[in-house]
Amino acid sequence: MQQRLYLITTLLLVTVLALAACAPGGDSGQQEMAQSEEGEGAAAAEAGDADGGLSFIAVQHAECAWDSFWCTVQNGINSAADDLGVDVTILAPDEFDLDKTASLIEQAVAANPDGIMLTVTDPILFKEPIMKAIDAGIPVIAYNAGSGPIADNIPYYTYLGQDEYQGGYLGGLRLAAGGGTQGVCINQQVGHTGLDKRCAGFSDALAESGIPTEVLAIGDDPAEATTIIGDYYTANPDTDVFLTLGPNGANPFYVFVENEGLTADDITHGTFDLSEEIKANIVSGMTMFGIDQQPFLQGYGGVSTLSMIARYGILPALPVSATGPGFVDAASLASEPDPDAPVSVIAVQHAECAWDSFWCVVQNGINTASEMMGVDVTILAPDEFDLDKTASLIEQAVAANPDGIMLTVTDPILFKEPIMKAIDAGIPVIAYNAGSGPIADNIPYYTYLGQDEYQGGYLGGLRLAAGGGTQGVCINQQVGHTGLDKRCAGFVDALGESGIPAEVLAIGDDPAEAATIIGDYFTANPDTDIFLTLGPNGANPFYVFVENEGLMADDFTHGTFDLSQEINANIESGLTMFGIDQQPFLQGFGGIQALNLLVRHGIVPALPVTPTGPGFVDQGNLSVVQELAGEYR
Amino acid sequence: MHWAKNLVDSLSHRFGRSPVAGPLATFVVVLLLCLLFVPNFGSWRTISGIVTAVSISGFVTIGITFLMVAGEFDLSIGAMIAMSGYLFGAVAVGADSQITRGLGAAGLPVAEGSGNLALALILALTVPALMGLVNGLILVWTRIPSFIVTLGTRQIYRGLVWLTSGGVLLQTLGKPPIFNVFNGRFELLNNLPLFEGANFRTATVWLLAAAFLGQYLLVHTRIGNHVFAVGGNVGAATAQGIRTSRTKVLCFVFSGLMAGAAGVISFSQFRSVRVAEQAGVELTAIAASVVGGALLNGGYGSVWGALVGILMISLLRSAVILLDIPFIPADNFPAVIGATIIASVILNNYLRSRASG
Repeated sequence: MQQRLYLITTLLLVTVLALAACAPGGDSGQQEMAQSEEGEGAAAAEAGDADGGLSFIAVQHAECAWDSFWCTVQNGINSAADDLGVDVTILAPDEFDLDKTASLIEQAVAANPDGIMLTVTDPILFKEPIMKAIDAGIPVIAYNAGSGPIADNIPYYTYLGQDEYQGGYLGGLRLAAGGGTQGVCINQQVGHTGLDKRCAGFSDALAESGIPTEVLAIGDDPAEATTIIGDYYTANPDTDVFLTLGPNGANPFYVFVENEGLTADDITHGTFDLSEEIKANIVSGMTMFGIDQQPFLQGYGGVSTLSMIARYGILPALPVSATGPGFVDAASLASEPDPDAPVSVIAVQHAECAWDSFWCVVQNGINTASEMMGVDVTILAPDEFDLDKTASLIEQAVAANPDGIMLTVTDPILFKEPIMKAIDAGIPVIAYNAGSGPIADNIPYYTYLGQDEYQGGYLGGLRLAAGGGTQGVCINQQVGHTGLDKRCAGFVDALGESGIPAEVLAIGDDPAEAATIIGDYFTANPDTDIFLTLGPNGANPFYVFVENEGLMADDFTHGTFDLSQEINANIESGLTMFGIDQQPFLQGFGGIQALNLLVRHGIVPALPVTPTGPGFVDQGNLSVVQELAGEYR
Repeated sequence: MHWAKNLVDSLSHRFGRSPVAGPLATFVVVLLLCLLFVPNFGSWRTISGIVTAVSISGFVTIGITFLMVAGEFDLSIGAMIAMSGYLFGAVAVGADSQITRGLGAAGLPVAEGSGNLALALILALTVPALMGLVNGLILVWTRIPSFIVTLGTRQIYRGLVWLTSGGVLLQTLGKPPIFNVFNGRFELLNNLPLFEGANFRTATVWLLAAAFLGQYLLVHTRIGNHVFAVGGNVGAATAQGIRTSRTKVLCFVFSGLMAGAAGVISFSQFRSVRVAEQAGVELTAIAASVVGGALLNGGYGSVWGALVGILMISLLRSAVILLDIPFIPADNFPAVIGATIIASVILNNYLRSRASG
């Protein structure tokens, strides 16, 4: 009892302290704020309207009134509109009609909303109306149908849908976890890109466990399919890991299981999608899971993403934002969604706003989301950098038995024990800001919200190479650091796709030395015209090199990770094309949103790593970013 | 020809016993080879680049050389540079930092927006010197080898920098004119006719000044003799009445002071400092001292030799990059430098044994 009282007092105290420290807007960002005053003061009017009312339009090729699938999507849209305090109008044709859907997009553009979300059902037909929206400066994102801006060749921000490869891969990991001898992916439509990707992911996952796999093609005829599966099993009797790609793969599979008299002990089975039959088999234990694309999240996430863009200038990190795979197993089938359930969350982090201004932005994200979504949140942090203390704060959080815990996995070895206590106690756990994802950290929490380093380098490389170039170099101040190496690998791959050779240049920690190294490299490779630096301490000697050589913005293109005063000034002057931001506000906001969706709606984060960055800051949104610096950026 | 042989003999006799002779001879030979065979090497751009590259690490190398002559190490100097950078940067320009606010609240004449250059310099030089003092005191009080002591304080001091700075990057856009005095472009030199492409900086002048000071202290003062004595043979030095503990502690203080100077020089150009600033510089400095002729177990070495050593490393780095060797990618050139460090020490040992033999 006494312990409990002590705990509550501590929680209260920490909350009060955190609030007190953040109340004056944080002592951070003042420099940047001051700086933006001399720039365009009215910049926030274009976007970054942190408080104003927003109205969005959702255009979709079908709707709840005549296709029940869409009721879940629309439920997600409305739920998000409620939580986030925005207006959303849903437009859809009264029967499946792509031309009509295209004209609804035009209608939406004419209404000039703060954002449009739409289904890119036909990227050729829809391109023209979508371009009208983009040209009019209206933020556009896609949901449910689409392939992402790159594959669709339409520069909208992101596509919210299922990541097919990851679905197969993560499903394969689950199936192989209990061991196995041979695996088979039963594919009812070989040649369908999405289905082939699912099988590829499955094969890769099983190969990592040393289990060989094959793809078995079946047709559309269930009787024929049953026989094919039976014949295959007779020829390969060691097969004990099965993946089916939907109800019409699972359906003949269940007949096959009955024919052979197999039981759940003989084989493991997972499938994509859900049907009544699949649900019954999940409950009976025959099937381990069904993989759901989580249509609720497509609706909810769409609205949330648009508000992030319109309110805070926070851009989606990747061309495809995965809403699935969402794994439905016996446990999640047993739980009923309860949209109005009270939710209490404890956030444990290794630092806090009171003594590290970076965290004011994260905490503002946490507090903003919890206020909007009606989540009760307590932030715990040590009063100085102390990992042991942070670990004991996690134990404290577990003891308080909240509905969810979000935490920084600053040290996956040290934190593993306390995090496992939470997971064993049935408390959902997600990581933010520090961590590497449940697989790399070897702790089975749900997801890690942070920057995707490879994609940062890759997407940065695509931007830098867009205007052409002869040779690229990734200036790495710490070769051997996994995160930095990934950034360079992405950059080199992106340039390689454009046929531009690129390599990694190692510089040290000494800026004077680094400036000379870059200069020497440039002398030896005078064709180099695309430069990527990995942070302020790579950019800093790079600018000295530029000054030494007397280079001009026209001579090269430069992009960098992170922002600093110096980098901001160079983006403004045009010397640097962009800075890549990990978007800490989104780490806090997204953490609360993920737990809210998990507890109230049973929506499980799709991927082990939920990327909050790369968020590109360029001349287009620099003023917004500076305006909101310290609070939202 | 007789006179020539005499000259060589007399030179090698007078000069050959100096610790700088071997390294300098090697340096000159390598420099000539580079000028002859490395494309783009013989330009002021490259030469000034090689010199400028050591404008921060050079200070540290001078300090480390004192310690190595005294038979000690200091692995914690990287953190001292960071500490100096933060104190100097924040106080000199009155940056928005908890350092400025903390010092202001403590009654010192500095506030956000109104810097104090004198205070900045005092703090940036004395705090690292005090950190060196602590290293020295722990060493002489506990008799734990300095490698272990400073391996510990290396981490502790980073923590201290972290607490002092609030863990955030300090960067200022404003540039007081005094920064150009400490480390600005040395246009007087760069604009000379025939100096096209040169990027010399005033930091090099300060580095030379520090080297003259160091050389004077080490060779022409009693304390310098004591440093050689304690590094050569502590027992004998104690028997001669030399206060060995005090001598060693002073070497740590001097090394800290040099690290402080490096922090000032660094911030004056780059106007940027972070907690992990200059991680690993201690190893570069030790390598430079050794390439410059110092012995790891003490009693031998020279400031000029150390400067030649750090220049040698810088020169090799530039040469390897400029050679653009196809099978050595740009992220792997440090391995080549590593190999050449070992080679040059082997050569030094050979030359030294010949000179003394």
